[in-house]
Amino acid sequence: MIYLLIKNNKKKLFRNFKSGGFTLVEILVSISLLAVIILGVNRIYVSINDNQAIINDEINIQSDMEYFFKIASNNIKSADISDGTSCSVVTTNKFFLLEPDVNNFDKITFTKNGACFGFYATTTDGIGNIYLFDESASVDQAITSSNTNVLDLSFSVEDNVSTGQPIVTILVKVAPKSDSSNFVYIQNSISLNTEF
Amino acid sequence: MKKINIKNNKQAFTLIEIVLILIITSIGLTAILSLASKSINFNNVKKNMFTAMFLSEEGLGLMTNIRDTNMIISNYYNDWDNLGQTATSGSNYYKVDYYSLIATSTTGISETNLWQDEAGFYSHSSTSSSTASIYNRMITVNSFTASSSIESLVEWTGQGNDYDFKLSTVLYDLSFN
Repeated sequence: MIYLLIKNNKKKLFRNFKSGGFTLVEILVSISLLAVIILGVNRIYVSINDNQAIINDEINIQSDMEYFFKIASNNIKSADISDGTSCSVVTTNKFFLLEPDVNNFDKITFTKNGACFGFYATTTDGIGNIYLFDESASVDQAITSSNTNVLDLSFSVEDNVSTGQPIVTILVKVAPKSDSSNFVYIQNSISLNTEF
Repeated sequence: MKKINIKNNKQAFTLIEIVLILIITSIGLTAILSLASKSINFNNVKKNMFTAMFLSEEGLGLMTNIRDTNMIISNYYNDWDNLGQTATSGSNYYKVDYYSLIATSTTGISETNLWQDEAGFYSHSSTSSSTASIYNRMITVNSFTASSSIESLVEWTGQGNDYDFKLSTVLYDLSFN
C-alpha cells in the first residue's frame, strides 16, 4: 500500500527519483519494516526460551519424582511387620504409622531390620522437599532436589494383614521451583512384597 | 550478439507481485507461529502424560495387591471382584482404586472416570467434595488357569485431543496347589 502510494504520487512528492539515491521516506519505511520484523523474531525467540525453561523444569520434576517413587517403593515393599517393641511408634501386627508433620504433610514410619525408617516432607525457604528419615542417622537425607517444590505429600495406608495384603498409596503435589501454580499430582500405590 | 532487453527494468512492482509477496510472507509467519503454539501445547500434554504414567502403574499395583490378598484369604487368585469365582475366559474389563481395593467389572472406558477427593487422591468414588479429573482408567484382564495378563489403560482429553497411556504385566497364581 505504501509503495503504491509512493508510486502514484512520486512526481508530486519527490524530486530526482531516478538519480539512484534513497529518499528519506524510503529509508523511514524500510527501517520501520525492519523494526516490525525484528520485534516479531524477538518474540519468537523469547517464547522458545520460555518453553525451554518450562521443559527443563518438567524434566527436573520428572527425574526427582521417579527417584522418590523408586526409593519409596523399594523401602515400603520390604517393610517389616511390627512386634510393637521395635520402632515403638508402630502398633502390633501393623506395618506403618501415619502422623501429620510440621507443615501438615503426612509422615510415614515403618520398621526395617529392627530400625525405624520413614518419609516426610517439609518446607524450607518456601521450597518443599521430601526427606528419608532414619532413626539411627543424625541428619535426614533430602530425596528431592532444590529445583522441585513439593507442595503436598499424603499417604493412604491399608495394612491389616488379616484382611489383605498391605498397601500404601502415595500422593505428591509437586511444582517447579519457579512457578508453584504450575503443579501436578502424582499418585501411585505400592503393594508389599512380604509373603504370609 | 543479442541486446539484452532492459525495457521493463524500471517498472515498479505490480499489484499481483505485491499480493504474492504478502501471501508468501504470511504463510511463513503462520508456520513459525504455529510451531511456537504447538510447543506450548506439547508441554501441557507432557505434564498430563506424567500423571497418567503413574496412574497406569498404580492400576497394575492395585491388581497385584488383589492377587496377593486373594492368596492371604484363600480366594481364587483371579477373583478380582471378590465374588467368589474365577474371572471368565476372554477379556474382562474392570475399574479398581486404592479406596475399595476390589475390582468392579465395567463395560467400557467411558465409565471409568477418576475423581479427585479433597486431599487430591484419585479414585472412582464420586462424592460431593470430590471433583472429576480428566483421566479414565480401565483394567483389561485376560485370565488363564495359572496366570492372567493385565493391561492398565489411562485415557484423557486435553486441548481437544484424546491421549492414552498403557502398561501391561502378567500376574501368576501363587497358591501352588
